[in-house]
Order: sequence, then C-alpha cells, then structure tokens
Amino acid sequence: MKPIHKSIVVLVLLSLSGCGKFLELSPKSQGQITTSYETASDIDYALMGGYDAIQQRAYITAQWMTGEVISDNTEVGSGSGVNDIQLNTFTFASNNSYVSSMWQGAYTGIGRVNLILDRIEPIQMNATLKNQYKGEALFLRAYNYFNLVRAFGRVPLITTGVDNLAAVDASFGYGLEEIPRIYTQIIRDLTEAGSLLPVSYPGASVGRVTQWAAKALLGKVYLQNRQFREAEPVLKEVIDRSGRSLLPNFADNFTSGRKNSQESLFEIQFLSGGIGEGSPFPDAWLPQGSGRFLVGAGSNGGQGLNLPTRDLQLAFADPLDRRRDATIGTSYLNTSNNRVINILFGRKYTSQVAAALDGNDNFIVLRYADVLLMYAEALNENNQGPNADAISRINDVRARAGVAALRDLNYTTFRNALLLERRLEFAFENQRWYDLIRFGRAEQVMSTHISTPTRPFTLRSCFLYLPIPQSETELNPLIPPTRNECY
Amino acid sequence: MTKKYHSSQYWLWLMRFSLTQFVLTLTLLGVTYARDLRAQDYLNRRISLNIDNKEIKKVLLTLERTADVRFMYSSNVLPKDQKISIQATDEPLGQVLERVFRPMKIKFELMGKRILLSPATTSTLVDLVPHQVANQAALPARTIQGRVVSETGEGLPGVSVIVRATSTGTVTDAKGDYSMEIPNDAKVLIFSFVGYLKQEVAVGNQTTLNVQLQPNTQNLDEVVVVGYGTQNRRDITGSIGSIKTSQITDQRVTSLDQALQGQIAGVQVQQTSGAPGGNVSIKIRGVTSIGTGSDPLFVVDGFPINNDKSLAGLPGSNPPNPLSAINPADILSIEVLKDASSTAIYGSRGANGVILITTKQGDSGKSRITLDVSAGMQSPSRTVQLMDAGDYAQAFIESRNNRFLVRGGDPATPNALRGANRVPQYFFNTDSLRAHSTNWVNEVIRPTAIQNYQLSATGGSANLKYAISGSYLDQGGIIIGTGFKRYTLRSNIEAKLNTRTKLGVNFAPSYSFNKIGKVEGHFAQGSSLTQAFVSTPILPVYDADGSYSSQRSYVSPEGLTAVFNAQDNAVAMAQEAKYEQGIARLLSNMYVEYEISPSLKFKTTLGVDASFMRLYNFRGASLITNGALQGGASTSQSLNWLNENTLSYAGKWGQHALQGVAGFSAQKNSFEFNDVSGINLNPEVPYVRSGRIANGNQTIEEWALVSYLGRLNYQFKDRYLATVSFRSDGSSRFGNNNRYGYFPSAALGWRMADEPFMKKALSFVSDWKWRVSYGLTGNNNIGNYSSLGLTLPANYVLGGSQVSGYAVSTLDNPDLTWEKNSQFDVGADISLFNNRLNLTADYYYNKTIDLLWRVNLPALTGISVPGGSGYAQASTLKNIGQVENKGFEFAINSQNLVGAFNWTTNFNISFNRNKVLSLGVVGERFFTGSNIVNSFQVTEVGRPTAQFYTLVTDGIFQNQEEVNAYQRNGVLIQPTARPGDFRYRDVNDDGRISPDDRDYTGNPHPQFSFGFSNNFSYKNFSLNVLLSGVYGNKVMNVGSRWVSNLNGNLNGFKEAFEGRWISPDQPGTGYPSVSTTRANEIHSFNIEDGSFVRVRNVTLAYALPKTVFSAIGLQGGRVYFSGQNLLTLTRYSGLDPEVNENGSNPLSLGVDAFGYPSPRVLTLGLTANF
Repeated sequence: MKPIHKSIVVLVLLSLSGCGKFLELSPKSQGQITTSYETASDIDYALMGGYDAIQQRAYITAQWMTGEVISDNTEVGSGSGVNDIQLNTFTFASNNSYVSSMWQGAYTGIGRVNLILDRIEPIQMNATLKNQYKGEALFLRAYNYFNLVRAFGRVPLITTGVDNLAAVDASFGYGLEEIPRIYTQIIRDLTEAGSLLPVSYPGASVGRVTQWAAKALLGKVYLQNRQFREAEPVLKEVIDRSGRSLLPNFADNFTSGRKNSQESLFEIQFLSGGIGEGSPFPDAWLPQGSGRFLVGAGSNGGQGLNLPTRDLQLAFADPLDRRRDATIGTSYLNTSNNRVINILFGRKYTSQVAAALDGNDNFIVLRYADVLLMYAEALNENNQGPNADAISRINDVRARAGVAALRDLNYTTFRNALLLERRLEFAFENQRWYDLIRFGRAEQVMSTHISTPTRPFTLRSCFLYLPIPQSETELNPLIPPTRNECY
Repeated sequence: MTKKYHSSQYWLWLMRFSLTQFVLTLTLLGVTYARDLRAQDYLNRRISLNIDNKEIKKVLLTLERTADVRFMYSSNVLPKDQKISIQATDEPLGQVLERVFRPMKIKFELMGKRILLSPATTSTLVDLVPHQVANQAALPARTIQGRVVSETGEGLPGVSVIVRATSTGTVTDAKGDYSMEIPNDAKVLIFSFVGYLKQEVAVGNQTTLNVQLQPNTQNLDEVVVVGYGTQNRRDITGSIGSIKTSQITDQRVTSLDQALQGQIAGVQVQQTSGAPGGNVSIKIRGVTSIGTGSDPLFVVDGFPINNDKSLAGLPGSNPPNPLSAINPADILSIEVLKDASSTAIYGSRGANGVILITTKQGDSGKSRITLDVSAGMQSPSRTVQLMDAGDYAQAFIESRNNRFLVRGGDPATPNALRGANRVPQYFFNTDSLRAHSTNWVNEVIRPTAIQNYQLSATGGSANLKYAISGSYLDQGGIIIGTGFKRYTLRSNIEAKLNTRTKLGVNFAPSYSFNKIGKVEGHFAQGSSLTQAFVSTPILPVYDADGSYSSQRSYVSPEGLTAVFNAQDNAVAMAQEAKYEQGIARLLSNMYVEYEISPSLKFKTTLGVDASFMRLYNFRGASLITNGALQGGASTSQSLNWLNENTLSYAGKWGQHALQGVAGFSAQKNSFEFNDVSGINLNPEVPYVRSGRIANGNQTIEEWALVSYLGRLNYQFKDRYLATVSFRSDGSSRFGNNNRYGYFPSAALGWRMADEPFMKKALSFVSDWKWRVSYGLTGNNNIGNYSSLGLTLPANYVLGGSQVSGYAVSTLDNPDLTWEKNSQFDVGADISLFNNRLNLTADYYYNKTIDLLWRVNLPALTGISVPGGSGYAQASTLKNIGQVENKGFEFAINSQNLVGAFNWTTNFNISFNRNKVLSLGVVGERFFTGSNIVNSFQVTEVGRPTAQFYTLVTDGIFQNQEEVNAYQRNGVLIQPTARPGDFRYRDVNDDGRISPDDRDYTGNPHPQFSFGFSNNFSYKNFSLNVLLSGVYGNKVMNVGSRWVSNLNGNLNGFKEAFEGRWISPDQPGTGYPSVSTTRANEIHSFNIEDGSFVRVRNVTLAYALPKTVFSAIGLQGGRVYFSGQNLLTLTRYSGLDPEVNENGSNPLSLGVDAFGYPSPRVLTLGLTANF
C-alpha cells in the first residue's frame, strides 16, 4: 500500500476511537451543584449566598417601597416611574415590579438556605459550627418568611431545597398556605435559631446573625402576630441579657462610622468600592438632581424614591427632637448656581458616595430602640395599660432623642404615643406600614393622608396585603390571582 | 491537448446547442495560451476505464461521469451507431480522447469544463488569417467589428458571432473583440456563449456593434455547492437557493448576510440594527425554535464558523454581527440550504437551515488584477416630526394643570402657589421658546461618509491557482459616536502536487473596529437615540459656556427643580459614552485532496477560526447617570478548530449513476472572556489603570462535536433521482443520557422534462423537475453546560470585607437533548422557453419537537437570578413542546428581453405560517417582551409564537359622561379615568380593568415576504433595482409609550401633540390628553402595522468603452452609482420598521425600542481591471 493510502486508513481508524472523553467537558470557570454543599466550607460559602439574597438591591428597594412609600411617611418624586407612583397612590396591581421583587427576593433567600438545611446534617464538621450554620440558615428563612407573610398574607410555604428537576416539578404543587401555619414555621425556626446561634462573633465574622438577633426578631414576629404574651419574655431577655444599649447620638445609627454598633441587633451589611456590595439608598432616596450636592459627585443624582411627607415633618412636633434633623433635610444648596433648593429629603443612610448605587451604610433591620418600644408595647397590651416598666422604656428612647418624658398615660394614650414614637424613631426603616397595620390604624391614617378636599379617598382593608405577583400566578395553577375589590 | 491539434492558433469550430437543435458552424479564433493551460489542466486529468464495444454516445456519457467534463456536439458530428472499445488505466484524458476521436476525424477542444466536438475536415486545419471568414458562399459586402463583454464589462473570448439564417460567423478573440465581413443584406447578428444567454442584435448600418452578454442564471449545468461537495443543479433533489458573485457585488453591501436580503424565497433577512456592522437576523422558513437561536448555520469554504453573537462580549441584545468581518467581495457564491434533504448532513446544527459561503478561487490563466474604489454618503432614510419647544411648554403646562386638578387643586390657584405643579414662568411664553427650539433627534443623527477600497488578483498556472484580495472599508454611523472600519485580506491558493494530489490553503485574516455606542433601549440606561426623542426641546445642546446642557441638574429661574426627566444630555450620551470593539479574526483552512482512483477521492481538511476581541468602554465626565467616571476593558479569544475527512465517489454504469460521500469530523471550540472595570478614572487618562479597579471577571467555555456523515446520490436514466443522507453528532452540550443524535434524510427527484412524452408534447419546456424530501435535523444552540446544574457567585460582606459565596443558578438535566426538526418538502423546478422563464415552487411542512426552552419556575424554587433593579425569573432549560412552520415559496426568474436591450426579472415570495403545537405540561404560556417593559408578548399553544398580548384601547374618553356611562351592573369600569384618558376594553367582562383584560393585539409574523429585482442593460449601461418587503406583521413601538402617550416631561411626536385630547370641544385626532400618570403604559395603541416595501438597492453601471480604458492602460473598467435603502413605503411611525430590539431572539419579534435605523447610502464607484 502506498504511504498516502496508509495514512488514510490510520486517520479513519483514529477517528473511530476515543470520542467519549472528547465530549465530556465540564465548566472551568463556574461551580457545579454536584461538587457543592459537601463540606463545612461549602456550607459557609452557601450561607454567604443566603445573606447575599437579603442584600439584593431589588429586594431591599421593594421593602421600603412596600413598607414606607406605601405609608404616610414618604412619597416618590415627580419624575418617578409608574411602578413607584402606583405604590404611592394605592393603584398598584399584581404586575407592579416592586410587588414582584418583594416576592422573588424573599423566596430567593428562602431557597438558598433551604438547600443548606437539607444538606448540612450528614456533613462531618465541628458541632458548634454546624449549629451556628443551621441557626443562621433558620434565621434567614424566618426573616424572609416574615417579610412575605406581613406583605402578602397567605403565601406558599416551602421548607425544602430545590436542586434537581424532580424538586422543580414538586414546586408546582405548592398552593397558598394559611397565615397561622406560616407564623408557626417562622416561630419554630427562630426559636431553634435562638438556641443554636452564638451570642457574638469575632471581628472578621461580625455581621452574621447572633442569638440576640434571632430572639429580637422572634419578639417582633410574636408582636406582629398579636402574641403579646409570648413576645414579652423574649424581648425582656434581649433587653436584660444581650448587652445592647442605645447609642448616645441617634444619628450615629445611620452612618458608616458606626456599623454593627452596640445598639444594633441585626443589620444588612453593605460595602462601597464598586464591588457590587454597595447600598442604593443615597441615590435612590434623594430628590432628583440633588445627589451631587448632597452626597458627592459620584451620585447618580437622586431618583427621588423616598421623599418625606409634610405630614411626617409636622409629626416632629417638638422642636428639640434631635431625630427630626437626623431624619429629614429641608433644603440643599445647588453649588453649580448657588441656589438654595427647598425640598424635603430623607437623611438616614445617606453618607457620601464615590459612585452611583454604591453606598457604604449598613441597613439596620433590628435595633435596641425597637426592642425597647416593642417590649413596652407588649407590656401595655398584656396589662391593658402601661406599667412603670413600659413607660420607662419609651422614655429611654425619648430621652436619647432629647424630648420630654411621658407620664400619666392609659392603655389607649400609651398606644397612640407608641405608634407616634415608632414613627419618629424608625422613619424610613421599613416599619411604618406594618406598625399601622399592627395598631389597626392603616385604613384610617391612609384614608386621611391621601384624601384631598375634592377627592375623598377610602383605603379598603383588602389593600393591607399586596396581590400575589402576576408572574407567579401565571405560572402556577395552584396559586390563583388575588381577586378582591382592590385588585 | 496534443501538439498536433495545436499546431495552428486558428480553428474552425462546429457548435451545437442540443436543446434548440440549433447548429452553428463558425470559425474559431484566438485560442490563447491561457486557454491552452486550462485545457491542459483538464486533459491531464487521469482516468481509468474499460469499455467494450459500446455505442459512442454512451461512451461519452461514461467519460463525462468519470472525468467530470461535458461533451457538446452537433448530432451529425458523431458517426451513427458506431461502437467502440477503450481501455485506459491511469491515463490522461487528452490521450484517451485522442485515441477515440482521431480515427473518426473528430476534433475536440475544451471550453471550461466542456469539450466541443467538431468534424476535423481538411479545411478546418488550414491556417486562416485572423478575423477572416471562411467557408462562406454569400458575397462579402462590408466589415463589422465590435466587442463582446460579460455582465461585469470584461471582454469575453470565444463568443460565437454569426449572421442569422446563414452560417457566416466568427468568434471573439482573447479580449472579446471580433471583426468579420458580412453580407450587405445581413439583418441580425446572433451572439452566443456557453453559460450566457443567446442574444440577437439588429445590425442596421452599423459598422461597430458592441454587445454585453447576460449570464444564464438558471443554467442547468450550473454547479451548486452542497454540504461536503458539489452537484449539478439538474441532479439536485433538495431545496437550495443560490446567489452569485454578481448579485453580491452589485449591491455594495458591507456584510454578506445583507446580500441575501430579498434574493431567495423562504429566507427572511432582517436588519435588526441599522448600525454599521450591526446585527442581521436571518430566518429560513420561519421560526423553527422558540428558546434557542433561530439563526442558520454558516459554513465558509466548508468550515462551520462561529456565529455566536455572545462571543462579541458586548452586553446588549443587538450585538455587532460577527459575519461583518467577511468581505462580501471575496464571495463567489452563497447557497442557502432550506430543506432537510440538503441540511440533514449538518445534523444537530441544520434545523435553521444552512448557508454555504464559497469564496473566490483562482483560475489557471492570465493574471487579472481588479481595483474597486467607491465612496458615498449615508443619511437617515426616514425622518419624524417632534414637538418643538413651544409645543413642549404647552404640553408641560397642560400636564401640570391636569395633575393639580386631579389632586384636588382649585383651578383659580395662581401658578406660583401650585407647589409641585408649578410651571416655570417663562414656559407660558411659548412663541419665544419656539424660536429657540432644539431638535435632539437631528442633533444625534447626521449624514456621514462611507468608503471602500478593494484590490484583488487572481490567476495561476497549470499547477498553481491563486486568488488574493485585500480591502478596507470605512463606514461612518449616522448616529454620532458610531462607525465601523474593516480591513480584510484573503489568500486562496490551490496547488497540484502531482497528477493525483491537490493541496489548498485558504487564509483570511481580518480586523474590524466598531464604535458601537449605546443607541436603543431605555433612556435611563443611557440610550442616546431614545433620550434624543424624549429630551426637552427647550434646552440647547450646549450651554453658553460650551459645556453640555443638563436636564438633570436644570433649575428654572424661579428655582424649580426636576422639571425635565433627570437624564443626561442625549448628545453627550452619544458622544461621551464609548463602546469600542476591535475584532481580529483569522479564518483559515487547509486541505489535501487525493485521487485514489478516478472515481474515488479522499479529502482531509484542517480548519481554524480564531478570533480575538477587545472591547473598551468609558463614560466621560459629562455623563453623570452612573456617577463617577467609569471605564472598562474586555478581551476574549475564541479558538475553533475542525478536522474533516471525507471519501467521495462518483461512478456510472450504463444508465445508473451514483455519487457518494462519507466522512468523519471533529470540531472543538475554546472560548475565554476576561473583563475588568474601574471607577474614578482620571478623565485625562481614561483607562482602568488611572482609577480604582472595581470589578473583574473571567469566563471559560468549551464545546466539542464529533460527527459521522454520509450521502448517496443515485440517478437512473439521468432523470430519476434519489438522495439519502445521514449524520450522527455527538455533542458536549447535551445531557449524559442523550449525548448522540442521528439525523437521516431521503429525497426523490424526477426530471419529467426528459421523458420522451414531454419532449414531444411540450417542446417549450426546457426542464421540469419534481422534488420531494423528508428528513430530520437538529438545533444545538443552547449554550454550553446547559445540561449541568451550576452555581453562580453570591457574595456578601462580613467584618467590613467582602466574602465569597455561591447559589444555585441552573439545574442538572441529563436528559437534555437537541431540538429535532422534521421537514417535508415538495417542489418543482420548471424552465420554459429555452430557459428564459424559470419557476421554482416549494411547499414545506416543518415540525420542531423537543423544543428547548427556559421554563420559568415558581419563585419559591429560590433559583431566580437577581439583577440590579429586579429579578430574572427562575428558569431551567427543558425539552418541551412542538412548533410547526408550513408554507409556500415561489421564485420566478425571467429573461424578459434579450438582445441589445436586456431585461431580467427575479421575483420571489414566501408565505410561512407558524404555530405552536404544544408546550409541555407546565405553563402553556410564555410571556416575553422588551428590555424596557416586559410581558407583552405571549407564546402559547395553537397560535404563532410571540403574539402581542396587551390591554385593548377603545379610543379616548371624550367627556365625563362617557366615563360615567362606561359601566357594568351600575359600577364604573374605569372609575379613576378622566376625559382624555384611554378607554380600555373590559375583555373578561368583570366590570373592571386588570391585567386579566389583556387580549391578542397583533401578530409579529408577516403574512408574506418578497423580493423583486430587475436588471436592465443596454449597450454599456446596466441598471439593477432590488425591492423587498414584508406584509401583514405588527410592530410594538415601545418608545411610543413615551412619544405618543405624552406625559409633559418627555418630549414626543408632533402628531401626537397636535392630535391630543384637550377638551370635549377639542377632542384631537385620537391621541390622549397630556397626563403625568399615563406615559409608561403600553397597550394596543402602541402596536402598529409593520408592513413595508423597501427599495433596497439601485445600481446604475457604465462599462467604460474600449477607447477610454485602453487609453489609460486598463483591460476593462466600469463606473457605477449605487443607492441603498432609497425609499421605504410603510405606515409605521418610527424611523425603521425593520429593527428589532432583541436581535435574533425568536420569541421577541417586532419590537422597536428606538432601534438604530438603517441609513440611506449613495455610493459612486469605479472598478478597473488590469
């Protein structure tokens, strides 16, 4: 045979062998599920994914849109988009993007930690660390479900992870769960987390949830679920044993200089530097065009998504209240033409930024002042009136704000005082709407707030829960679209 | 060719064109040295055969098959019923022919691949004086001379010129010149040449007669490139459309896929972005896929190239077109394989059709150097009328009035006391504002230049052929800040190592540089054209100090802020936001072809497609949307290699002929993308290094494909045809359980015209072929690793530092497999009247099963992918569902006039109907939309894909009574509506308007698309006019939710402003009132008719007369004037009905988000041959 004939035969033979390996290509620059969730270190990485979920900009934005903008505290500016305006005016529907992000954000967080809880048990690792990881995962699941149940009411309750197609098929089998069942799950998770988590962390781990965070959140959950009897001892334990205290200066809570302070029980960690870990607050909240004058040239100028209402400004009745100026700004100087612009804007979490949507301030989910006021609320409810302990707690908060102590209060006046105190203390901290609901005041307050002399407005109680997002009801036949006189 | 027959340069020929029974006797002149070489080339081809006592005609047929040549002869040349025997073993063809013909006194000569046979009488061997007429009895009376040129203006040697009704004639010499004496009463000269249409020209009193011949485009002997080989058009059983080099070069397009526009039935080519080098979407026979790409496979000189648009590395949905790296002038032909019979041999990549691109090869013969220089102007092809500053101020005032009243304000309140609804005082002086109005669209769109230079050389000797070219294209963009430059080189060389072995190298490096900018999309994402549409005409482009004016930080004289939308200056967006991409690409392959025996060949090919991309972006100081100065750089490299080994066979026994090809191929692609970005850059040094590095990324991906393939073509009696083909593909992309796929096809053909009954009964039928085919193809465009469960980085912050984390992003699906497309095709190719009228008709039915689709998952799976401002719904790729496409295609090619005045018409039209048959058990409805606003298109069972699905507007409420009257069971359906608002149809009749009231509001698929081209030539002039269009499709004009639904802050269409509802007494022409709350809604009002007819190309060329070009030392020359996109007839209100925001995404059809419009291009050019 001629050499060229031989080489053809060799080529053909070569071609017939050894293709199998040639086709087995695994990703080099991406992780695979099959090689994850296997070791203690894998679980730690996965937990960071769980924390990352609650730090997502879309989720946290949706939280103040559905927790503050919807209330009488703030409104969106004139150049805002239709989704923003809808929440401001109770004209939103199931396709509102914030409604959808609230839902997606919470379930993303839940799904990520469900997988950890599914996989952690068989892993050989230090028992204390395993407890801590489980506690963190349970806390994060409870936190997200609490956000869901407050915002939407009945939601699907899923507590197993989805990492394969069979589990996906199963996920279509979840309908809307009853509210008490969801609260039961949240309480069980937080109770367990409280028993598993450490009380504190060394420096490099600061930011993880502690036992006190779990207990404070449990107290808040009980309170929102009107389980005042159960709330009281948990909150008392946090007050007595957590070692937390009020920062002397109210405004320090909201600046980058005092992250994870003595007053903080749990806060969402942000970090500027253009690494995707910055907060959106300064750019999202400040009035349009004001950003570069208020927080620096790096700002995108302000989106005007959180402008305090005149109503809120007037609520700071005491001119000595230190919280007023720490909460609301009233004007800024446009240095390009030296004009003073008079407009109300929120001051919390608005440290200087170097780049757009890259704020450095953490967002506080739970702080000691909240625990004090919640405890006072539980006492008032449980005793049908404020005892001395309750009054002293609210006065602690007021004293730090520089306003006079309250006295001579009955159940109702104390309750009213608490709602007001909470409004002044926690404006823009995603509390107001749920406070109004818990105090049973949302319909009345919002009807008054939105009505104008020519256009009366009555808030129907069906607006107290957001509609289930259209994206979900279109997908899952077991989840019907929210249908009532509001949606 | 033997020396003996070459002893003379001047020959007498006898030619006969069998179809017409027309016999010519003529004098042959001017066989050049070049032709000798070419003849030598063919005649040196070695053949082996053994024929015993067969009829001479059958012997010739056998020789045709084995030696790949074709004999042409007059019926009286061959001795009747003579039987001969030949034995040859590995002997040159010329030698064999001489043994056969010499005893019969038949002379043979080669012309291209054809061998002309003529009687070698003594007189023909007499040396004749050039240009003299031989063998004529008629009285010579006068001399006529002239030149015969091809369609490109080059002299055609060897053209026969005879006087009608006589046997007086001659042939043209090497330069295409002829001269002869003709009888005084000669009326008509007939010019004919193989491969060209015969032309009859009246002589009159002329003494000089120049003729331009037109190619016979439907020549049955035309060779068509098919997968892994070539075939004669007459033998093809599949549905294949071809376009030739002349159809490409005449159009002056800058990218080869644009050359396909309107040319081939069933191929819809859509310029989804008119940016230079911008995206082109090609759909062959409809949308065969829903979730994966619907672009066809591109194969350049046998190499299936990367056309993966994501490789470009640029975020965005209309990425630059990777095919724009190929110089269209280098292309010899483009074949579009449409049915399964032709595409199944490309297996898992064939489902969307295959486009084969063949580049120009050299020719043995004289070197030919061609220079082409052209330059032109580009300008917007359509304009729109926007509101001027006066209109804007008026709209602003109305919107603020409305809002003040809606919020309970007292109409008597003076402006100054209206708080947030206060209007800057000077807005009330609309007339003075109008005098200083800025038209922002005109500020970002401008006329710009285009220039193109090409130099090529082709030629070769007996053993070496070359085609070498270089080109430079500089195309400005009509939107400021954009533009495209391309440098290409190509060197195609083929060498004959010995009589059996050929070696070839195609080497084609290119570099393109594209200033892309950010044009379409949401203004809030920095899209310059969109921002230009909505920018306030009150502000000038530049402030008095020369800096960009700013809407964002504008403060009115009374201190009002946030008057305008808080965006950057549109001109700054276009000029200062830089996206610049450079791509160096090397397409190269090398092959060796070895002739094992005359009927069996082995070919091995090694190819490489390597591309290197760099992308630079920088947002300058004048853009504050994203705060600090930011910039970034990305690079990617992609290396794709292919080895192919094929054995091909061609044989014939008696009336049976068989051709086959079998092969093995392996292909692998490695891709790496690196990306770094920085912030706080120093504007003087606008690169990452001058700032702080903020982000970096590295992505590595690979895929591999291993295939076996084969095809058999069988012909019986030359008219019963059968083809079967097969391919097996193993792909790294699919799940472990489904790694290999098998793709068979079969086809039958019947050349009915060759049946004796047809020849007798219907002599006007030149050819009539029926074809029917069925086969299975696949679509593997699902990205790499899609069958694997993957994690994505999900990082957090602890202790003040970033810590790494991950989360699940996709799930394992070991069953994942390719989409399978089964396709049935029946068609006919009919040529009538001596091939002057050619018709092709096809019906096809094409069903895709195992549709790949990212199935949306309930959010509670937790797999959703967070983005900046929202979440991408959790999804997983699955094989679900079926979709069908069926339709008719018709193509007509007609040589209307042949003669001094030539007129050729090509018309094609295709009707495709798309329908989703099933979508698996889940969902049964997929929503898609635009990047600006989502979920306005639905794909569901029983309907075509991507139907518009929105609220339905039923006009405008003219007054409060109409609002009050719009009720159901006593309850107002739109209780918050005001006069001037849209009335929405309560589709589900539940008494209120909700998302449940969405309905089907339009079909983005055209009812038909067509192309219509006419070529005229007269003397030295030629004119080509190409029209194409679509009919019956709807387009979502996403931007019209701003520019038609006016909100007072954003500027808009003048028509919308002038036609707005103002009051019950001034109801306008159907546009709503100006309202601050309505601007972002999107519904049926924003859906428009997208039908259009476009004059794509008009080229007028003039072949320089001999006196001109020989005076300047040229062989030939041509000047031309070309206009692209001269006119678009459409009712669409936007700039271009053809653009599509999501490029080639099969589920996002007909979405215009202020896409980059295609420019009108006027070019003047010169082609010179040396």
